[in-house]
Amino acid sequence: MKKIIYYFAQKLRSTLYILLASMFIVNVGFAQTPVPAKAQAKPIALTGGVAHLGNGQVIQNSIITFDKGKLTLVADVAIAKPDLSAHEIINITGKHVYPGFILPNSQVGLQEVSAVRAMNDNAERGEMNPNVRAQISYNTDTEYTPTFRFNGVRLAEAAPTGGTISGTSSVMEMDGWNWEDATHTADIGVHMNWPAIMKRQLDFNTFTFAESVNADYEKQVIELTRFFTEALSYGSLSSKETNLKFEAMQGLFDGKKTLLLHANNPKEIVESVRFAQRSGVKRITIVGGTGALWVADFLKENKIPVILPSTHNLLGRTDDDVDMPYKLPHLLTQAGVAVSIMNNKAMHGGRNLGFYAGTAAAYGMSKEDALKTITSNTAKALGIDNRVGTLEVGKDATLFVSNGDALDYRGNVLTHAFITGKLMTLPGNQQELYERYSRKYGQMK
Amino acid sequence: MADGTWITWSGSRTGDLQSKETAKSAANDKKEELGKVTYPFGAHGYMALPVAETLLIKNATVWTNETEGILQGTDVLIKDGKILKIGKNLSDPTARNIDGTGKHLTAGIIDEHSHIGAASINDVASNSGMVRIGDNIDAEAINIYRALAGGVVAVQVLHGSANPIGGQSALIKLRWGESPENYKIQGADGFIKFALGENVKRTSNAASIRFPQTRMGVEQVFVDAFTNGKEYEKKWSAYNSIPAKEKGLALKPRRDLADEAMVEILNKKRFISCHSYVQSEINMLMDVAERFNFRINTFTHILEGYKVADKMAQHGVAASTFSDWWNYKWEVRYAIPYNAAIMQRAGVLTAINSDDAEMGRRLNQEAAKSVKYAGMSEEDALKMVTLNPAKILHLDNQMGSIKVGKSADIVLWTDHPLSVYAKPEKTVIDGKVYFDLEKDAQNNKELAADRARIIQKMKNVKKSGGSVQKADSKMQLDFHCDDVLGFEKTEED
Repeated sequence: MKKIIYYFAQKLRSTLYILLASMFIVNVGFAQTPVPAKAQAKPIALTGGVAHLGNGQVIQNSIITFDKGKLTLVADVAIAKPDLSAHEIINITGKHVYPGFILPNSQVGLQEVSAVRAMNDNAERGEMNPNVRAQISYNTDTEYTPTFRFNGVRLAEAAPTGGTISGTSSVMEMDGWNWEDATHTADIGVHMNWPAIMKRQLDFNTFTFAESVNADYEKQVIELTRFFTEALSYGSLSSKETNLKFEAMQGLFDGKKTLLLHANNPKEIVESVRFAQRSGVKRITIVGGTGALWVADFLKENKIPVILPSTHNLLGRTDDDVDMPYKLPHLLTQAGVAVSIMNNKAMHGGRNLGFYAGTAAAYGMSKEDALKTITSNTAKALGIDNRVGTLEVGKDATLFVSNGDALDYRGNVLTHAFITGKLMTLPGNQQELYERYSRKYGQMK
Repeated sequence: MADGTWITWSGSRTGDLQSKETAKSAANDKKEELGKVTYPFGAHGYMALPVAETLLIKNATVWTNETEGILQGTDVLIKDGKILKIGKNLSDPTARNIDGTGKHLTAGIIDEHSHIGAASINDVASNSGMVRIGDNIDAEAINIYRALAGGVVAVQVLHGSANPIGGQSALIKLRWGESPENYKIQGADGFIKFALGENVKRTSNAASIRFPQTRMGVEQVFVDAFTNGKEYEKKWSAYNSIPAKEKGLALKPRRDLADEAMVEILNKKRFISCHSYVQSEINMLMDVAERFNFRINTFTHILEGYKVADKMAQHGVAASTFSDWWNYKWEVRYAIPYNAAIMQRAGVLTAINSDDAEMGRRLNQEAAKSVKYAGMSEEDALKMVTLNPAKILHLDNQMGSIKVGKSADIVLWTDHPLSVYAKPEKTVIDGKVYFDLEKDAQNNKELAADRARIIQKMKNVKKSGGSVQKADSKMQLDFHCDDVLGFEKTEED
């Protein structure tokens, strides 16, 4: 068995070289983000790959077809015998095919170099800004997207971050000429930072954080209650003066938008969810939720999904289990909570989303359950599961092919990537620089 | 519950709390129940310090990092803190046998750039070359245990990068439970942290008025420091050459610890690890060193190293870089995940470092990224977090590979060490098991019980009317190299 693994690793390397070389020949010389893909011209069939459907199922020897951007067949080769005469057939035998990864709660397209003030468009002034919309600020030429695409991320939620009610987020495709093109689903949710019950302050004498009670907590909750109550009654008025902020809140009360509730402390989680329920919010997702394990029963009973921080994190107290961030997705899933994983650290980490899930698999989850945390569970948590998150007939042909296990560093090498049926260019600026300097030193011909 | 287990409950408010008479109990008279002393005395401490064992790891896949390469089905015998034998079908009746079937044995991970276990890391003076991180080790920092759980055996605890000339680093082995002094690697060479670019220009603090504010100024700080060092050495050698009888009449030069550090560098007795990003500043520092007739030992971070890898190879400097970090500030805009591979192929001794307590505990995965992106061989990739940092820190005579006679600083992994699914099952330093996956799980249970015991104790004191204070939650800081704690002079001052 071990021999096979090593052979595979060797083979992987040589294919990688050939693959990179062929990519470069096509794409030499761009200094911008890759040219957006053209619409799918004819039906495509991927044959022979190991299909990971994103719903827990695997088809070892699969056939997947798609046309006009939608999946038309996902089946076992041995069972389905479709007529492929009109199809472009891509043989992916020995490779793996996955639904595109979805990156929730990101600032992609809104923020470029975080340390440069001029390059930050993610946090607006003021406390209550539900009407502030990420979609129109999304920069399709952001240099992050090529690096995310390269490792399997196909969709990202662009989400505002400032104030108490930060604004309205949209799910964006990692490809497009402008924000209209790149929009997958507009205005999917409102982000809200629940007030902290405990404030954390750095003590310069001991270099430790000390926690103290937030004296303004009740006042802040009362303000939020007033805002939500007024927004709800505004919706039922027959004649009214337009209020942009209240207009933007209406989707929360009719279930069109999800309330993405940022809360970590267990008490804050319970209080914020109860508040949202009382306020008439139909769809609630917890973002953060590092303390969710303490209130897992409550979350399960109320069917509240949780978008957890990256598993590559140091969480909590010194006496926590050292592997707690790694096993938290597993423990919460076991407790009956629907879990997905975000990248909560520096933006560039978004490209490691697959490995965050891989880590969850190393610490308790099955690989297919871990895949759900960055595909179907995320789609559900964001309310876009009617179109993406799994490989199922009728859904978007938003998927990719990898030489090996895409959740592991040793297998995540993409050969084909599609977004709503469009074949995407994978290499970006970083691959161009690799080529330029490898040539400089004669390392690449 | 009192024993630390959780139950589901709910309640509803019925009215105000009735004030009760404070119950005086006889509990006060009972002998105080104390917890056990652990090493270190805090979370995840051990009941006893680990001891050097005779260990025989049987039938493992052994990554030697030597010409033998990766050996299948191989045994490794460890005795008296050293690697004693490597081969097939070894036996030793005194040894504790460990089944390595399906597991991988590698040299322990070494992190060239870390701040774990440092109580603070930055100074404000543009040359603070006299300060020593070694005087400032927090042996109880939880990130040390977390790193052990990630297969790390040794780190260089570096000064921060808020000033061009930082301070002297400490090379430590993660001997969890020992005193700070016992962490230090005896006889190791001395290193010093230098830094370039945005951090030393104080870019993050727009109000800063400290010189330097440009890369032009940064060069002058170095030239000035080395010029002073040379003058200082000259003054002392002039003074020292005065005959003893006449010394009383001569003016003794004032001792200057920063200048002494510069003299050590000029005399190749202390070695520079320099925080660096863009190509111009990299070439500048190599140029300054060459003008003063010495060489830079290491460029750390070195994210544009791939642009000047030929010059670095020529200078003979090593590189210790991040695998895939980029774009978090302007000077790292052109960082690419191919950097390590390009430098390594150009003949630069290359390592992957963390600068981050989180990333530092899975450096094996960071090394794997060079295989994924640039097709580096898996053996070369693993060397970037084991043997290469050992060479960079001048420790390769004693660690960094699985070789007879070297210190038994090794890791037994549950899976292929470059896989996301691999966990360190045992982390061994000096032949002592400092991390054990099974023991860790057991410790977690004991820790939960101890936490429950302490909470009960506090509740009992409160119940019996003892003096109490509000619960005070404290968290340790995780340093990055540009974290300045304290006061920095600004335009408003």
